[in-house]
Amino acid sequence: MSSSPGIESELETFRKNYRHLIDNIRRLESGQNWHTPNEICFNFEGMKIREFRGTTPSCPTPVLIVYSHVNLPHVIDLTEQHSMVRRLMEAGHKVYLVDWGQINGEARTRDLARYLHDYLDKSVNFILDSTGAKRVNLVGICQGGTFSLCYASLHPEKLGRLVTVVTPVDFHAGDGVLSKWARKIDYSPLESNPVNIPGGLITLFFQSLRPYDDMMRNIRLIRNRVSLDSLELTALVDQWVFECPDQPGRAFAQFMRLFYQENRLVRGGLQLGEHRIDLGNVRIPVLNLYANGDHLVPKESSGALKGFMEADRYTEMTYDGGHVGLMVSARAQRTILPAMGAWLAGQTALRPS
Amino acid sequence: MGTIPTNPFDKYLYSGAFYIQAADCYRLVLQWLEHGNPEADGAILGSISEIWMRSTLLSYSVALTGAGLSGEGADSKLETRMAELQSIVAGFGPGIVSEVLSQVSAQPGGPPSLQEFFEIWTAACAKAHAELLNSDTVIDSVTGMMNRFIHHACEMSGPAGAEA
Repeated sequence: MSSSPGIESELETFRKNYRHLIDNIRRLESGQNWHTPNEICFNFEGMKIREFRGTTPSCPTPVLIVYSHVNLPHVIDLTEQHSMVRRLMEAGHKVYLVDWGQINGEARTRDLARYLHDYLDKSVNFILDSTGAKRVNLVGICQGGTFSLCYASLHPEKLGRLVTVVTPVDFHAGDGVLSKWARKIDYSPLESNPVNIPGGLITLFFQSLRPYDDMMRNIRLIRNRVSLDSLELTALVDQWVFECPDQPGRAFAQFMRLFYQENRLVRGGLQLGEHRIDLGNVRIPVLNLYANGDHLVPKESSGALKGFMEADRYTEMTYDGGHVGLMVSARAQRTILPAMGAWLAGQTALRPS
Repeated sequence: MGTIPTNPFDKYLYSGAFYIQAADCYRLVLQWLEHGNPEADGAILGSISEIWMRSTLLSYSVALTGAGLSGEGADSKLETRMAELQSIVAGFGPGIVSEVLSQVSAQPGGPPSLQEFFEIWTAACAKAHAELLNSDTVIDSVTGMMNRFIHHACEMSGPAGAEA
């Protein structure tokens, strides 16, 4: 093979840029999770509530963020400039978060009802008791949004407003690979004889969905020789992506069967423990935020919520970007997240993103 | 190249390695643009197909081997399944080569730069990968492995105990 002019020198530059990136990114590697100071104010069977500190809230209704169990929640508070938590605090809110935590072997037998009735309801009750507020505003993200909708259908009296963020609602809508794959897996052994699902498997599964998009981003990052400051967010997201927690076997299996396979949230007949979930009971103001380019939760899946809400209580905003970008990107920090903060504070006029 | 990345930053190493490999393809493509015709040049087809195979199978091995298939309870038909997947992935090779070469030829300002070539190659692979993920054959293959993993893992764990 003959060598074409310029290629060798270009590759040499590429190799140098690669070493530069790796040197820089290793300097940024850390065990840091949360950016905003917070403390654990409630702990129940490993589930924790984090209370964020730093500003004096002006809004009387506290906000409880319910993140997905599938990833760790600190992606919503990576840096000062990339933090949903900070944007909510800037809008005057007192912010709490349900941190599902890392599970142990005993968690394999927990069912979904326990997550909803024990953990989520105990969290809301704790915040109501400790703040003296009459209601709590929920911000449910991804799977946490699905949990929040279920909870809101059971206890609307405890809630003021609900924001659903990149939340799957109609699990068969859109062209999601996750949904297609999930429908063909037999989860019944996990329900009857549960084992926890390794978080590493979840990470690797997500990583295999779009390897070439990721590769292109990586190459651009190497070639562009970005500064240490610009790399900080990338390094934090890289670390976060690889930290999926183990999943409690029985609850995971129930979620996959009831939601992904049987699509009970929209088809009806969703029974969790003693309670029947009906989206028609969500009689509180709902803001639905979703991303047009979401490859994990298709926009059609999130957007389906509109069909179940009363028009005068439902608002939606879409974001031209992806699943994580809606929570993390600089553009989201300037547009859709401040709008969410304002809506939760009772300012109903939203500017389109 | 077939190992599972367990460090988040390994992905830069893998991506960089594929970029270097793509440069080998790029050399052949430049020669083809200058002198040859694509049908006659099996080397281009072989080179682009090989990178496609390696990169795609890496992503599958990441997902599938990560499912515990190499540990206890491993799927005894794993090798057969992987061979099936290899065969499916190989089937997409000629389509990718054709797409890459047609886009490279259509560049208005002459031959693309290495970076432009890499982007063209990556976009063609991404499109083919999305088709693969949505194909019944791959879905059946992957979910079949997952079902066996779940079955074996649950069988080994024993019944849920008193902690329920």
